[in-house]
Amino acid sequence: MILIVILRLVNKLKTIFFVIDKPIHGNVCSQEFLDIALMAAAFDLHVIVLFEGDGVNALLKNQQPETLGLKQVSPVLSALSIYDINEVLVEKESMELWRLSPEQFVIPVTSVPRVELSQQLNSADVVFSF
Amino acid sequence: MKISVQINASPYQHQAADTAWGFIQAAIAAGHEVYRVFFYHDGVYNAARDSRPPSDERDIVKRWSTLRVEHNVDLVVCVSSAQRRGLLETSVAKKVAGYEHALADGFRIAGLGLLMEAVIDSDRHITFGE
Amino acid sequence: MLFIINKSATQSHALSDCVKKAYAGDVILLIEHAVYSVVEIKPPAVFQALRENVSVCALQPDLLVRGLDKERCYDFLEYVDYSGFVALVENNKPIRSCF
Repeated sequence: MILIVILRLVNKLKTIFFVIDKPIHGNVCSQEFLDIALMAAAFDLHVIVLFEGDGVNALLKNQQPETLGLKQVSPVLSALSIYDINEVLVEKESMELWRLSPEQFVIPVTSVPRVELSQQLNSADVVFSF
Repeated sequence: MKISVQINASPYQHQAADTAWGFIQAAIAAGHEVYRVFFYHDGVYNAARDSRPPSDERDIVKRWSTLRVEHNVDLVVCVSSAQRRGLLETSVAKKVAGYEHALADGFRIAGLGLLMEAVIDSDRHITFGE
Repeated sequence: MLFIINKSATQSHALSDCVKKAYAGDVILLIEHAVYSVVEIKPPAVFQALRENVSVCALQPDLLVRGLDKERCYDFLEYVDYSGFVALVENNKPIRSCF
């Protein structure tokens, strides 16, 4: 038991960023990618999910992938908080480029300017991308 | 230094497996420990036992198998990525497909937990992909 | 941060995005098709936004594969072989592969 607690404390020290910077539809990669994020959270790692570039569109409400027989990503995004992943960031510049605002998104996000993201990313241990 | 490697792209169609190979050889030569190679997304095809490239071409699958024999590198294929792409784990393969091994010698099939373990225990985690 | 880019600037936006995101102390490593982007072209579009103290490295074996001579490449570049690649991984954290 003590060992597990220690292990968890050590794990907590590792910060893992998951960057979604590309469209998520049409292939299974984003789904498999988010599986890693959920697993990382289940391992008590400090997980931060970042949307930028085209990837910010993944957050849009009212996606209808089932019209092409594809799987909905929104439920997984909603599940992030269940897995204690509460740091969901969006690059401010990307959001401005797409003229989007957080109320158009399926989950609450924090808008962070690129220069600050650089500092946050640099303090991470691992950055996952797909 | 402990380094873990993730490969996200299928062999032959992308350079990822070749770049990873060059990197791993150099890492071992420099005295680093390559803790684990984790095959994800289409990267699972790097483990396809029945891959038979023409005799004048590099045999990528066999090359990985030798890495296991010569340097005892743990080669792990993600079970959910593999199942989706037709590389079945032995027990399932026997039951539904009538064959024993989808994976070449030296590979083992496992869940994302082993990727997390690699991330937690390694000093660096590097991903090669499409 | 070590950024790893594997596509040329005409193939994908990954490199130009990365140039915008890289700040002093970061390293950009170009591998695979990305090495096409180290050939000096006019106007020198993609690296124009490069900040000071961001180093750009190219994986030499990938230049060789593609028949790209160093004489044709930008002079601010550094070249690494696979052992140099490993050293970059050793000396930089985290590593971000931009696909």
